[in-house]
Amino acid sequence: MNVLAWAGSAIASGIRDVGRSAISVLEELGALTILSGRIFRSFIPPTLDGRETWRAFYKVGVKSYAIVVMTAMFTGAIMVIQAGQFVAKASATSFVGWAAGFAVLAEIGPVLIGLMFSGRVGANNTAELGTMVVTEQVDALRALAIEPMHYLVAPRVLAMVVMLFLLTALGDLFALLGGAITSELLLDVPMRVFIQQVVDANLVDEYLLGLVKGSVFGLSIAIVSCHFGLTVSGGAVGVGRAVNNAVVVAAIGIFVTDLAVGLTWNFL
Amino acid sequence: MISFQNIVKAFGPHKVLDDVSLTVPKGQILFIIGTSGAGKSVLVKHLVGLIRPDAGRIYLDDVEVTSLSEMALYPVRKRCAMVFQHSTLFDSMTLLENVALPLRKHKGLSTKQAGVDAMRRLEQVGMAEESGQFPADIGDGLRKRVAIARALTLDPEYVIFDEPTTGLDPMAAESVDSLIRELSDRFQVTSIVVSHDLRSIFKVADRIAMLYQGKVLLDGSPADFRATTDPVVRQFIEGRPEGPMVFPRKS
Repeated sequence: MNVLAWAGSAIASGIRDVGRSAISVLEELGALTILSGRIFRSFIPPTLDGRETWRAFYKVGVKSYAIVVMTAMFTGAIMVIQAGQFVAKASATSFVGWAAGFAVLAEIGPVLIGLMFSGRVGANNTAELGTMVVTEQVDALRALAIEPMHYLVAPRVLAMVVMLFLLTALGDLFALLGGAITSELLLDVPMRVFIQQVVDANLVDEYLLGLVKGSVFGLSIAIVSCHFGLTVSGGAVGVGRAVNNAVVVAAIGIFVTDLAVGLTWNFL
Repeated sequence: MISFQNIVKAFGPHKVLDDVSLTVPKGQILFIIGTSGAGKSVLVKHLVGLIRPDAGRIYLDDVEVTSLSEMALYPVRKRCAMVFQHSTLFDSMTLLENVALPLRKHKGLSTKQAGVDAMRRLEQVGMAEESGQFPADIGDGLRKRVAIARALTLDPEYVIFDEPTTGLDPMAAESVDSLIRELSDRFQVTSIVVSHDLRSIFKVADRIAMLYQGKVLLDGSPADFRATTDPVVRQFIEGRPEGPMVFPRKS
C-alpha cells in the first residue's frame, strides 16, 4: 500500500513537473511572438537611428567575418574528409566536389555559421541588452522619450538578418575553398578539378537555399537574443542566466527553422 | 503642478506605497525623504510612467499620466526629465554622445550641431575636458554631473532628481544643490528630489515629505521638520540608529 502511495505520488509529481515545463515553454513562446510583433511594428514607419544602426552593422558584421571565415573553411575541410572516405572506396573521386558542395551549401555551412554567429553575436547582444536593463539604461532611454524598440532593438534585428545573409554568402565560398584545399592535400584531387566539379554540379539552388536559411537564422537569433536580454532580472546572475538561455534557445531555433525552411523549399 | 492622488503600489505581497497623496506647485522644490526601501524612488518613477500604480492617479498639470499609453507618455517625458540614482549613462557612448542623444532625437539637430550644443552643456557642469571619455572611465560624481546635463538638454519644466548628491564630494554636492535652486529661482522649474542628504535637504528644499511604511508621515516646510516632535521623524533627521523607527527589511 505504501509502495502504491509512493508510486502514485511520484507519478503525480512527474505530471506536475511536465505541466509546469509545458506552461513555461508556452509562456516563452508567447513572449517571443509578442516581441516579434513589436519588432515588426517598429519598422513601420522605418525610423532607425543612423548611428545605432551603423554601430550594430559594424559589431555584428565586421567583427564577425574572421571567425565565420575560419569556421567555414574548417567546415568545408571536414565535409571533404567525410565524403572522401566513401568516394575513395568507390573510386568516385569525381563526385567529391558535388558531395561536399551540396552538403556545405544547403545544410552544414549555414547551420554551423548560424551556431557560431549565435554564440558570438547573439550571446553578446543578450548580455549587452541585459546589462542595460539591470543598470536602468533602458529605463533611462524611455525617460528621455526614446523608444527602446526603435532605438535599440530594430537596428540589431536588421543588422543580424542582413549580416548573417552576407556572412553565409561569404562563408559558403570559403567553405568550398577549404574543401578544395583539403581535397588537393588529402585526396589528390587538384583544387581546379574540385572547383570544376562544384561548378558542373550546378548548386545554385542549394546556395540560394543556404542564403535563405542564413537570413531566417539571423531573424531567429535576433528575436531570441533580444527577448532574453530585455527580460533580464536579478542583476549579474540574471544576465548570465539570460545569456545561457539565449544560446540554448537560439540553437534550438536554428534547427527548428532549418527543418521548416528545408521542407518549405522542397514544397515550393 | 504635479499631483499624486492616493497612489498604491505593491511588489508581490509587499505594499511599498499605501495611499500616498502629494501635490507640488509650479516652481517648488519638494524633497522626498525616508529610509532606504521606503518607496521614494518607486513613487517618483510613477510620474514618468516607468512604473504603473496599482491604484490612484497622477496629474502633470491637466494631463492624467496614469491613463496614458507608453507612446502617449513620451510628450510628458520631454517635459519632465529624470536624473537616475545611478546616473544611467549609456556605456557604449562617450559623454558628449550621451548628452547629444536627446538633442539629436528631439530637437532635430544634426550630429554636428547636437555635439556643439552638448559641449556647451558639458561646459556648464564642468565636464567639457572629459567629453570624449566613456562613462566607465570616470567616477560616480562626474557621471552624475553628466547625467544632470543630459536630463536638462530638453529644457524640461519638471525635473526628478533621484539621490543627486549621493556619492559626491562636498563641493560637487554643493554645486548640484546650487543648480537645483537656480533651476527653480531662474527658470521656474519644478523639482522633486529624492534624498538622504540632510545638509542638502535643509538648505535647498521649499518643502519636505517623509515617506514611512508606505505613507506620507509628515509633509511640511523645513521649519516644520525642525520643529516636529514626531519621534520617527526626529530619529531620521537626527540620524540616530536607535529609536522607534521600523526599517523596511524588519517590517
